[in-house]
Amino acid sequence: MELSRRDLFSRCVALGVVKLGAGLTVATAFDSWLRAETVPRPATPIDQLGPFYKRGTPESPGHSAVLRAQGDPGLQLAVAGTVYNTRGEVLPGAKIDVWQTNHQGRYDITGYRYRAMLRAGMKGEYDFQSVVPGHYPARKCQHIHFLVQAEGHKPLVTQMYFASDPIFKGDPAKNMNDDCPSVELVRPILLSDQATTMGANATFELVLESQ
Amino acid sequence: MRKVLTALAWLVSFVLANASCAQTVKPMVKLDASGEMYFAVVCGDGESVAGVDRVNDIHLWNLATGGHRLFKVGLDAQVDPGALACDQRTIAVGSVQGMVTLLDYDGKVRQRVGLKEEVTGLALSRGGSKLAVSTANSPVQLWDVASGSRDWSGTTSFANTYGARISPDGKSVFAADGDTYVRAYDISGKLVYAAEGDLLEPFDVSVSADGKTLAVAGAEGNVELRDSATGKVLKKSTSCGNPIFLVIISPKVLTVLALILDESTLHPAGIGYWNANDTELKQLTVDPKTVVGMGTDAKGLLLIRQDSPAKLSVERVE
Repeated sequence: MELSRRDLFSRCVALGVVKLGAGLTVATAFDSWLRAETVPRPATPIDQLGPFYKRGTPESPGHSAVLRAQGDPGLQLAVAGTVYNTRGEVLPGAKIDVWQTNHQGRYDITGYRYRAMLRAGMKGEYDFQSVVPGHYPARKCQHIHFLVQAEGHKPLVTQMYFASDPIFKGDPAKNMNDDCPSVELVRPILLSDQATTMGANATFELVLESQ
Repeated sequence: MRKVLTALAWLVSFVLANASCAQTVKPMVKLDASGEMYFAVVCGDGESVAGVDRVNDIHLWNLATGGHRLFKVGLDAQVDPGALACDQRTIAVGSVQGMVTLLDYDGKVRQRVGLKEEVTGLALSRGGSKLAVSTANSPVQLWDVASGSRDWSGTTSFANTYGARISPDGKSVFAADGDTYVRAYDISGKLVYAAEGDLLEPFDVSVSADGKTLAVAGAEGNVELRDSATGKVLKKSTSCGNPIFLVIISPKVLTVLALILDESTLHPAGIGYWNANDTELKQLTVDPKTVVGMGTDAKGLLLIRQDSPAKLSVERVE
């Protein structure tokens, strides 16, 4: 069984390889240690909720979800990231709603295709499998919607964009447009090197502000 | 032969049934326009029409005389449809850059208030003392027009308010919120109820002249009538299959107009008409691209259409 960092720290204290100064408990010492290691992070920029947010998306078990069905057309996409607060602490159990169009730019209005609700894992991690969303006339940029909620924090409503989107002409920093509020939301993609199963991979960290 | 007669009888009854609830659009007044309107609204009880043109100038027409005034107020950016409101004395307009401008009927700017977000909707109270403001990322806000200060902000679980209205008696504010709830506040900002809506977002709410009934519509493509005191759904129309961006209820409650958008382009795709004695949300036989606004007067529902770059028409829907 893999020990958590907290368990390992407790064991080190018990074995005497870590000694606590006067006035420190195991809990306060561990929390202080973690705080010293965390890096403050800027909050993820907010973006518009909708239209086409849908309440009641079924919750996926764990921190992973699969939005695409077998045989769905479109370039396969894997998105992964971590949920933090602005102090840089991970937020296990954060509730993450994601929704997007299919590869043709159509939202599922009647059902929950290309929609998922998952919970960040113990290290704040999440991931989902999907396809790169299509363009549609009302929006210039390909995008995925996120709604992230964690106790004690302001809900984060945002969207992730793709640096590979032709709208950015290969340089999002220079070619931003009014459909995307911040270049920080534009994520590079990494194409996997297997020609037969090629897919795009992207990371998207989600940073919530305290309430 | 018997089959033919039966079919004929069915056809006649079908035509009569539909004719009996058919609606007509009758020209009421033609207005001279010096520019192409982007969006227009009916002011007060139908005395005036205000509009924003494509270069962000404000127009005001007196419907009784046809008199027209043009106000160049230096709006800083484009105006969202919905971010224009007026009563008998005041015009309020909000920009995508977050500037709310309040001007009187002489075109004199009385207040400019800078918000940090795109203004997506405005609604004035009767008499123009209060202004409900919807923005792209926050719950509804209520502003005091005279002082230009914010009285309060509403709350949602996580979302912005799309459309908000103040009740005719000035005692309540109703909000169609992106978290799919319809919320009612008293005028001091106390939440009265949060009524669960459909699964998709509601985009607009309209209050009947007696203040007792709300019409709510949104991404589901149907229109609901709700009891304004409780938020409880009273009646619901069929869905048109596309999102409804704006809704307006007639003073007589039983009829509703709805601006239907194409779900892919979000451009106008139709004008819905619902007689709440029925369930079917019908579409008027007008070109939605010509419709620049909707509203009411004491008698009922009105459409504002751009006939040509130089002409607007106000039409009554019966």
